[in-house]
Amino acid sequence: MPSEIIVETQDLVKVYSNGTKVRALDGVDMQIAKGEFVSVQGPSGSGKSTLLNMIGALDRPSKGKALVGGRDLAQVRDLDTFRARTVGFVFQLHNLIPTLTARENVEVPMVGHRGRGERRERAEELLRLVGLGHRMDHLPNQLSGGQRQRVAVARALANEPEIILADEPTGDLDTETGAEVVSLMQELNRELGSTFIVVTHDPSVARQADRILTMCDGKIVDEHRVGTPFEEDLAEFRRSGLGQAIIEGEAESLQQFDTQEERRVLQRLLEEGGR
Amino acid sequence: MGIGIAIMAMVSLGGLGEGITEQMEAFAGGGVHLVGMEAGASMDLSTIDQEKVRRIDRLPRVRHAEGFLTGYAQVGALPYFVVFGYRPRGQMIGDFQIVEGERLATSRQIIIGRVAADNLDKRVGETLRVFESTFRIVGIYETGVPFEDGGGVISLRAAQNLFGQPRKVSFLGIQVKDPLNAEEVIRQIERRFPSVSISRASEFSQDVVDLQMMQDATWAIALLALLVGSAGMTNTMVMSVFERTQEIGVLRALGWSRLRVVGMVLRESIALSLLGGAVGVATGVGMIGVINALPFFEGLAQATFSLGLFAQALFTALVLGALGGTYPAWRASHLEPVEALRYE
Repeated sequence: MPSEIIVETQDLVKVYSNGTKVRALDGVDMQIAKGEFVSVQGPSGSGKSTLLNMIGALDRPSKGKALVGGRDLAQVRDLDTFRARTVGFVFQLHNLIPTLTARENVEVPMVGHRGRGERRERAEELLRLVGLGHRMDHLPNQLSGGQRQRVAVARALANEPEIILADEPTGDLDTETGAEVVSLMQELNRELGSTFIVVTHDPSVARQADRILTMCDGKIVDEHRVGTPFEEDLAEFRRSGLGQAIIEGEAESLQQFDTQEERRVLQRLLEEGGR
Repeated sequence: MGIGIAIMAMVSLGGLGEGITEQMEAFAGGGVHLVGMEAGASMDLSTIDQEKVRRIDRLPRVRHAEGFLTGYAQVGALPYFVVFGYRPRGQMIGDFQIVEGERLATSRQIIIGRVAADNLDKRVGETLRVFESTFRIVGIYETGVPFEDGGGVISLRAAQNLFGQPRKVSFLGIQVKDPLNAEEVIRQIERRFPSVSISRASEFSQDVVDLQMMQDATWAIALLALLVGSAGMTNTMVMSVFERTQEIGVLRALGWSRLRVVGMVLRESIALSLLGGAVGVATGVGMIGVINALPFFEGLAQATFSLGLFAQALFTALVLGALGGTYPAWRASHLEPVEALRYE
């Protein structure tokens, strides 16, 4: 990787004990460069959000290290300032304060770090940046889902953090609106140079990134730079049950999939894509 | 609301207490330097032998000492009609300024206060029945002291007969020759007459046992109301923090420190409490106004509201808000962000 490493995890493990032990992260090693737009995809329960929580210092690992900007988060004393200044969060359900206007919501992270006038000015600038300059004085219930998520993105940028952590930012939005929000994040990534780490279970959202980390059962099972749509479809197919069966030539497994003709077509696709 | 009700109780009871104290001071004042009553007795049971009054009157440092009797009777629709017994030719009766009719002259006559005249719908020349005795109303007076203006004055002898207290008075008023020596006069009288307790007129209310008990009871009730209000405040804030668990998780995730969260919750608690306090003050004053407007209370329970009482009430609301918000603020600040964010 050509750029400076801004996020790194070393054998990161997180075990939750609520009666039964759940190994949410099972030894995660990864690196993310400054300015990258990385998506973390995987099914529900794969550990994506847990990984994000570790990077954002919302939770502590059971074992291993999470380093941000070269600093081991376990050694950071003032995690509140870290969360305010180094990372910005975008949640699935936007989590805007319902009694505050869009402008006031964007100001929230800046309280205690900037003066009142400066907070207001910065909030207005950010809302214009995300295309909501005309909605500054609206309450969240007066905004559409996509607009609320734009406010959440603006809020995440309030203190000019190095990293934006987005946990299923489009999970509560329709496809078109979700695509707009992701497009906005891409634009901000390009313009501001902020590092974006986006957790999603939606492959179409994941493919908007520069790189995709795929998680399963608390581990990263695949990591690659995003290719063409065909390459991504093929990669996804390879990871699927049918793809695995064709790659491994398991005749018995193949029987459960579709017709003979379809299996021949799929096999040809694999050959064309190169095993 | 709990705080508002508590502050309303505090203001109304406190105002009543202050009003009664003021009335006592006005009642005990009126040209006398010292007021005497039976040592250790409550106001309505105080009796002093008239002979003692005469002996006190003859003391070298006393210019004038005079006794008077007080009692209560139900008259017409008024359950608490105060009857004062004064010597018609004495000095103390001069405090009752006649505004209609003439002064008291005989023992079959009565002068009544303006408030009593209005409540009973009586005029000069009409009669008034008190217990089994009938008196002719010869005059109407005003003193500015509500429970005096709500009552009536008859001759001391007539009052002694009416209440079965021959040669007895309830209180005595003393004028000293040199007010600077008042303390010495008090000591002298109490030494010679141990059954009589003497106070400066301005401090009379502080030495009256039942007034002290009333004030203590007033504050006990107010304190109880405040404790209940405070508990209600804590409960309200705990529920508020509970309902905003996710919101607090977001604030912590956005970098708000525990201290900032504590500050937010405490500020809200204090603001709510002050608002409740302001409503409580207004309601307390309004409630006393309503009670005072009732006929049989008009000449009895006049509250006095000082700025000090209002300041005390609002300060109490502020303290209650701070105390009531302490636990909820602590609880909010100790919510782990990741747990709070997951809360639904």
